[in-house]
Order: sequence, then C-alpha cells, then structure tokens
Amino acid sequence: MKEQAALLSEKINAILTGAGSLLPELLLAGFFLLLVTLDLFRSKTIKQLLPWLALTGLFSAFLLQILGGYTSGGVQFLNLLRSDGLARYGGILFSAAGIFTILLSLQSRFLENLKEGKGEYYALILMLVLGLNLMAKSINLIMVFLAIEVVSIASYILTLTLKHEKRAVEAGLKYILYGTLSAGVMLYGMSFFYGFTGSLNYTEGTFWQALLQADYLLVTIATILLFAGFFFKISAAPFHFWVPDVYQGAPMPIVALFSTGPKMAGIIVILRFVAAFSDPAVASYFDDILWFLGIAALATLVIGNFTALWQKTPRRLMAYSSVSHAGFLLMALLAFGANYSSGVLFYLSVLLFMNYGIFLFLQITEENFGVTRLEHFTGLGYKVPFLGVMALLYLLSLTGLPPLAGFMGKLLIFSNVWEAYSSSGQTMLLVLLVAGVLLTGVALFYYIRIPYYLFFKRNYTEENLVISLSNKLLLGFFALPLLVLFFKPDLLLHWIEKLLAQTL
Amino acid sequence: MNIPLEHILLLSAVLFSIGVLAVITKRHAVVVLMGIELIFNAANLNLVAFSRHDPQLLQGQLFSLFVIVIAAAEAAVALAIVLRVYQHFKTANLSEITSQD
Repeated sequence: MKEQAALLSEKINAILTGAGSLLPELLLAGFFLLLVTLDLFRSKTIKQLLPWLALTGLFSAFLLQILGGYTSGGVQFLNLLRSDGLARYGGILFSAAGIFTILLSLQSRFLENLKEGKGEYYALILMLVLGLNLMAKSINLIMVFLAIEVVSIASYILTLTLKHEKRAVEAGLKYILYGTLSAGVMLYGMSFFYGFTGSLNYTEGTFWQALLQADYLLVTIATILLFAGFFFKISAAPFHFWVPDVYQGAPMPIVALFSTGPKMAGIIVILRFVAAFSDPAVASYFDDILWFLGIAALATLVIGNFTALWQKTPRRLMAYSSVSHAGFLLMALLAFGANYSSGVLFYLSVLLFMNYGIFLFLQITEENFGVTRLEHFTGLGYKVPFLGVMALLYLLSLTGLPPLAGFMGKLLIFSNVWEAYSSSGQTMLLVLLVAGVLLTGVALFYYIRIPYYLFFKRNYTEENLVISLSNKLLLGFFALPLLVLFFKPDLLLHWIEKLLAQTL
Repeated sequence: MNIPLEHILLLSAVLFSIGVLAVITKRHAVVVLMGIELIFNAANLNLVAFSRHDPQLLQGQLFSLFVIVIAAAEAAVALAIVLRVYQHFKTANLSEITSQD
C-alpha cells in the first residue's frame, strides 16, 4: 500500500513538472472549452465573436511555439510525449494551418449562410489542431493511437459541416468507414509490437533491440498493419480511396486543412518511427520493411499522378495531387542522410502555403463564379487577371517549377535521395528518384489544365466579375513566401536546423 | 485457469479475420461497422493477453481501456452519420449510396 502511494505521488510530480512543456496544447484545450461554452448562449454578438476567439487561441499557440522557452520542466511527459524541436516546428506549422483555415472560413459564403453549428465548426478546428500537436509529440503507441483518433473524429464531423448536401453526407460515411477500418488494422499491428517488446515506447533503442530478437515475418506483417493507419492519415496508396470523395464533399477551408494538417502530422509520426532504420544494423535486418515502404511510395506517386490526369473537377484534381504529394514525402522519408529531417520539414512548409493558396483560389472561383468543373474556368484569367496570375503561380509551385519554392522543396528532396543512394547503393532509391523526376513531368500536364482554361480559351460574356479586397490580400499573402523561399531558402532551412539541433 | 498465450492469439486472429471479412463482403453500413468493432476487439484481446508479461505497468490493459472508450466515441459519430445518410438516401446500403458522377 505504501509502495503504491509512493508511486502515485511520484507520477503526480512527473505530471506537474512535465505539464510546462504542454503549454500550447493546454492553451488550445482551454480555448476549445471556452468556445463550446460560449456557443451555448443565444446572443448574436457572442456568436459572431467565436471565429475571432478561435483565431486568438490558434495565434497565441503559434506565437508561443515560435518564441519557445515554455518547456520549463523537462522535455518528456511521462514517457508519452516529447516536446523536442521537431514537435515544436510541427506545432508551428499546425497552428499556422489552423489560422489559415479560419481565415478561409471567414471568406466563405457557404459557411456564412450556415444556420447552425458554426460554434462547433470553429471549436472542432481547434480540437483538430490540438490532436495534430499531440501526434507530432507522441513517442508512445498509446499516444499515437489516441492522437490519431482525436484528429480523425474531429475530421469526420468537420466533413459533414454542410450536412444538408448529399455529397457531404456521402463523403462523411466513406471517410468514417475507411478511417475506423484503418485505425482498427493499425491497432492490431500495435498490439503485436507490444507483444514482441513488452514496451510501447517505439522511439527507444531497446524497443528495436527487442524487435531484432522477435520472429522476422511477424514483425514485417505487424509493421505493414501499423502503416495502414499512418497511410490513411497521409492519404497514401492503398488507403487513398476516401480522398476524392471527401475533397468533393467537405467545405473548401476544411479540404485545405485535410490536405496539409493531418498529412504533416502523419509524416512526422512516420519520421519518428523510421528513424530507427537510419541504424544500418536495423535497416539491413528489416530489409523487407524498407522495400514495402519504397513500393508504397512508388505506388502512391504513380496512382496519384496518373489518376489526376483523368479528373474533370478541380476538387478531384487537387485530391489526386494531394495523393501524389504524399508519395513524394514517403520517398523523402526513405532517404536517410545529413539534411534528412530539414528537407522534409522544408517541403511540408512550402506545401502549406501552396495548398492554402490554391484552395483559396478554388473557393473564390466556386463561390463567386460557380466553377465546379474544369471547363468553367474558361476565360476567367482575362476577366480577373490578378486571380489568373495567382492561380498560375500556385500551380507552377505545386508542379515544382522555378522560380517558386515548390522547386526548391523538390530539389532538396531529390538531392537527399541521390546522396542516400550514392552512400548506400540501394537500387530502390534510384528507382524512386527516376520515377519522381519523370512523374513531375506528368504532373505538369494535369496542373497546366487549369491555366490552359484560364488563359488560352476565351469566353465572350459581358459580366462584371469582382473579388473582394480581403481575398486579394490573402491570395498575395500565400504567394509571397513561395517567391521569398525560392530566392532565400536558407532563411527557413537555417531556422529549421537550429530548432532540430536544440535539445530544449 | 492458465490459458496458453497461443490460444488467445489464435482467437484474436479469428476475430480479426471475421471482422475484415464482414467489412469486405457486407454492404450494409451498420454491419460493416460491426465488423470494424470486431477488429478493435481482436486487438484488445491481444493487448490484454500480452499484458500478462508486463506485470509492473500493465500497459496493455491500460491501452485496451483507451481503445474501448475511443471505439465507443467513434461508433457514436458513425451511427449519427449513418442516420443522416438514411435521411438523404433512404437506404444504408453502401452500393446504393452515390450522388455524383
């Protein structure tokens, strides 16, 4: 009895000292509760305050993580969460994604006309960002599962924001069925990892030492099962079937969030998991797992890029573009080397701005000009030149052409893969590199279709088309980093490397 | 009363397979959800069984408690969505639910 009391007080002390490192999460949780409470009031002024309150919460979490210095007592929280530089940079990206989502939502007319559920909408965005933060921090399989489920459940509800539309309901059903299935499969894999090692801390060396002792075939199968859940979150093949439907049914700001937030967090989780493979002893023993990841990356790249060619609606086109980016990131995760993590994080940061830019463009054209198919873009570039030029900019960056940051991101990853190939001589990396370069050419064909309709076809209708100043400012705001980071990528890279090197 | 570990693992593998089979072959949304629930419980069984070799921390048992709570939350959201689907499409059959081209 006395022993238990001592253990309990020890745990409580650990929680109290570790809580300092969870300040951004606590802040987000506090604002979430505040939003839910205030949403109970009927007053109109309070309801109008809610988005701004959510924005305040996200912005303070953003600032807190940029400034740092909040990890007062210990980096580790009970062997569950680790607040290192990687998690901190991830947290900055997630808060930024949350802020952008709310800014896009404030511009959206569909959401403005929504009669009920606006309070929950903003509260759930906060909850989603909180879950993403936890995903990036978790070093324990329980925490990984919990964080992924927090993100997933918030996503399911957000997909159904426009619940009076058939396509939203259909998307929600498909999303939750695929989501729970992949979570269940992942959990089954996790249970085997626990059985092999007797521990859930997958980042520790002893965990992998124990796996080296376990049955080879079973470990490989368990890893493949585990990756079902991860692949679902980053929308990689063969768990990408939900993507086009959800992108078709969810409101545009939420689509933008799905295409960046969970993908970034999932990549960070995988990055922590595969970090063990940078040890040559582990990598050579579990050769098949690396092959499996390589084949998945290749399949995702091929499926994403080639299916995008046949799409007729801009939302579906972007869905498959998002799948192809997931494949690209998976490829980057296999290239262990010097600039490994910073290359991936740089690409993720660029992806954030590109995706929000292009989804804002799609939101404007869909809500103001009724564009739901690619043909509807006809001649818009002449009517509203600013919009057309911005769209061209984002699409070129998504393809990976200079002079835009998307090019720098791809270049960095390709050079990482090449370096990893020259030092390890794995043929798989070479195959991935060649496929990546060739498929970038394919990507040009489908991305260019939007500017083709915008500029090369004329539409002689006399209409006055205007877009609001706030939309123009936002479009410019998302484009600015893309130009700056092409000419000065070191600005961001140095900062990322500094954060990663920090022990906090 | 000491059941060998292999037997429990075999049972959980059978549960998992039944779950996956239900998800693949059944077309009714609620039955698919039941299949997914079976997969969760297969994992739970594994976790509790393995937890016997971790007597100090009992992490597996703890994990399965979390899983039960999460599965309940997910089932609640999923059933609410199925209800919505039924209102729109007048069916919960997955192959009949398509709204776009």
